Amino acid sequence: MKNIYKLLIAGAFLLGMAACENETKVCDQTLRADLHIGFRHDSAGIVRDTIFRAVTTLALNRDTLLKNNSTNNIYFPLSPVADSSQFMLKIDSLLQGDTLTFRYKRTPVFISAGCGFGTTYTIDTVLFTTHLIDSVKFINKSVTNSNDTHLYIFYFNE
Amino acid sequence: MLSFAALAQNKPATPVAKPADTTHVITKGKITPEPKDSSWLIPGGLRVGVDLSRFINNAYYPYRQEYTVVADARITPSLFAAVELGYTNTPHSDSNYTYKGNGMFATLGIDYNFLKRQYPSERNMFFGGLRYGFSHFNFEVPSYTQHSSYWGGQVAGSYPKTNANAHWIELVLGLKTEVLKNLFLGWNVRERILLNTVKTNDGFTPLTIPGFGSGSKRAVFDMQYTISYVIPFYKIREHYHPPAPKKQPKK
Repeated sequence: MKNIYKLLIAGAFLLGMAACENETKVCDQTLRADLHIGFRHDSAGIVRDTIFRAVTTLALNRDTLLKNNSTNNIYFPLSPVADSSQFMLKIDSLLQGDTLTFRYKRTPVFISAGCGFGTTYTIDTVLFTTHLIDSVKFINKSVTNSNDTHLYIFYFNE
Repeated sequence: MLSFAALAQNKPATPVAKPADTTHVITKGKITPEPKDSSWLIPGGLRVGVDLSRFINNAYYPYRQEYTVVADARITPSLFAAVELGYTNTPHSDSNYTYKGNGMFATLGIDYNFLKRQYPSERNMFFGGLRYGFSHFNFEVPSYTQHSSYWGGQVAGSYPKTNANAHWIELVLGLKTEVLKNLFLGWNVRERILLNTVKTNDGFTPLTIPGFGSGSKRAVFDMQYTISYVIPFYKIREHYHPPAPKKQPKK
């Protein structure tokens, strides 16, 4: 009887150690709160999603985000260090690009003990050049994740 | 052949012996039943101890500095009132943020001893328990930084000190065994289920809830390893209950 107790006591000791995890060391959820934009194109009076063949995007004076990619949607990582961000969007290498300026409010969010803090955004206004862009329409002004589509950009003549 | 003959001779001998024994037993007569109103005293007392597993936990997880005192007192032969009191401190610092938190907690409940005592004064226990836990604590993030790889630079900020309360229910299963006179070693495993949500308005959850564990989980599994001492300053009277008559319903 006494020996059984001793074994159980020893066993429990090991069990307890295995049951815990150091939450400050593991970052298992990342926050992606990039502005998600879809392209819409008017063809013969019907507005629908459209894929452009060679999309190039970059933030002004920063590295290229996309280079000649064929896509119907893009992501803009808004700057967490400023209240506005400017991006360059070229839907075809042969065509002139447009500049978009986003003004927004930043909100810090706690992600997890291991990952620390991130930022979400609430878009206030968008300013854009109209070389090729016809108009834009906000679907969702609060950028808390990248799964939602936040903005549609309409093109009417390529 | 000889051995078979020997067996054959032995066999009839046994039935002869048996009747002699049975007659002996019968003549001995009936055992008189114990008086129904008998009672005796069993040791009670207040058991006070500390949870040693917290110190080992702290070695593995430096941000969990916890100190827990456990106590229980015998109410009836197999029911114990149980209390735990503790203080925790949660210091943490890494490249993303610094964190400060501390608080007190208490749990209150009962333990029921399932172990059938082999002698009336046995105090070893195999028990199941139920607890209600409450904790009052505060937490803050004096500073955090966020790095932006694409844009360069970093964002700094802080979260002010926040006071919070947590309530939970605890289910316990464990052992306590008397290794020396009045000195007990024991372990138990427990599941804690949080009853309320602890969050700031900004959705910031504490790193740990004192007495509960992880601040980001609704239910946690934990264990205790206790060393405790009984102060046996009172006794409990236990009454003899005759076993329930089983023959009567059959009749």
